Amino acid sequence: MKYDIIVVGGGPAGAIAAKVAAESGLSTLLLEKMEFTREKPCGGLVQGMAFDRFDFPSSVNETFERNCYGAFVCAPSGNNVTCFAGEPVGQFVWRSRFDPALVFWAENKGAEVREKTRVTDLTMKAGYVKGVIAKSKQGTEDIEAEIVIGADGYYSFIARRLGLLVKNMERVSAQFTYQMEMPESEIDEKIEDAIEIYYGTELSPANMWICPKREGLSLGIGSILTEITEEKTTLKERLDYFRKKHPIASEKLKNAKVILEQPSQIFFPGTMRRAYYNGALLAGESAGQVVMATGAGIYWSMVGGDLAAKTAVDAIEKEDVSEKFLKNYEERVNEEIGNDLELGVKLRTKAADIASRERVLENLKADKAARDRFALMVAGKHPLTEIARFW
Amino acid sequence: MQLLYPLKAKELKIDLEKCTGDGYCAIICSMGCYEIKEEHASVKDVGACRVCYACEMRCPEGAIEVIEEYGGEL
Repeated sequence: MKYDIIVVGGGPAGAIAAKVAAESGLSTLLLEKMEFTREKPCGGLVQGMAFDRFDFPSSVNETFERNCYGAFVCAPSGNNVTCFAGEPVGQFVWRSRFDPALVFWAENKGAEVREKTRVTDLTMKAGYVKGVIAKSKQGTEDIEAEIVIGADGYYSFIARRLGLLVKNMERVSAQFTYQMEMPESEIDEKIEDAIEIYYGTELSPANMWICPKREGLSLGIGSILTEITEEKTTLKERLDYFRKKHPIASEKLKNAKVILEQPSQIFFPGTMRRAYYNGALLAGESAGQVVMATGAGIYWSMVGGDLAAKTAVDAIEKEDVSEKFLKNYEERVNEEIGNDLELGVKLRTKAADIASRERVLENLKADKAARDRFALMVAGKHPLTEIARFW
Repeated sequence: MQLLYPLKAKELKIDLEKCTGDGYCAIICSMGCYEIKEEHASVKDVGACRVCYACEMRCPEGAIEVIEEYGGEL
């Protein structure tokens, strides 16, 4: 069997890549290792910019669980502030509903989709990726393609197989996420329509966050790998302490019930040597297309998937799938989201110490315009670069 | 509400030649898969692993390999 394009991974980057490739008339196969209804270790905040950039069909819009108007931010001291924009600036989703809707969109445009199918190896010839070895219940299959797009998330198998992954522990965070149930009326009353961010303390510098949905929420904690050293407690232990003992959060979360626990990582920019190879491209988190300051990645990954597919379409049309041609992808990514990704790294290091976190709070409290900009930044309504110059 | 996340490990391999017993794996793993015994990492509970690969990524010596269980959900 041979396709023009094989996309590995059915998250936002992979789904958009498959949709764009299929729409261009190329034969496209998308492979997902799990069932599409799998939940992801993720807050599920779809940034406002995504609605401006992508023309979602109603089947995708129907998966929106709750508006995001901005953020509630709480410093280690307990000092807190709510930053609300005047209109919704993002949407909260369950990834178990949002991702399949995106994949269904790709399918509607002509992509062939297979779930519960794992890519266990790449086939190579003369330094070029020629296809994948796919394993499913039906057996093991050798599938050829002109271009393979690796949209297989953090610690990407495709990136590792091609020797593109850089073991850069300062650009990777470990995460622990609880998906929880909570009565809708209680979320409306206590959490409202915003992401909640709790900055870590001197003793435990990891940040915690809450992303509310209609009748449940995602609760998570994350910390850069190299910052998890001296402490003798795991992220899960710290998150449990937070949800049970934090003076503000424990009150909000007391009737929230854990339905799923998920450890994970996030790969930020600088974890890949490059995002292209002879006959292959990386998109989404596998290419580190995540904003390090916030850990948010859905929008930027979707842009990555879109640009990867467009580059692949051009390459196939020109009959040149070499690295030399595919390098074009890097230029496209840099042009559209490069500044955002770079700034995300810079902002993360800037707000790392406790004193500066307290200062951020004071600045937000003092200035309504700063609160508005913060809401737009966290919810991804505007590019980071447009907002950061006011800081 | 039911949410799926069917990832499981078949094996957590520790190369004892490379392992220095620094304990990063035991701290990074929220699922309690590792413990430090006699100055080396040791697997306490492979069944708790959800295949996040944080141990493999964090180990400065590259002494850990997570082998994923494919069979479970296929």
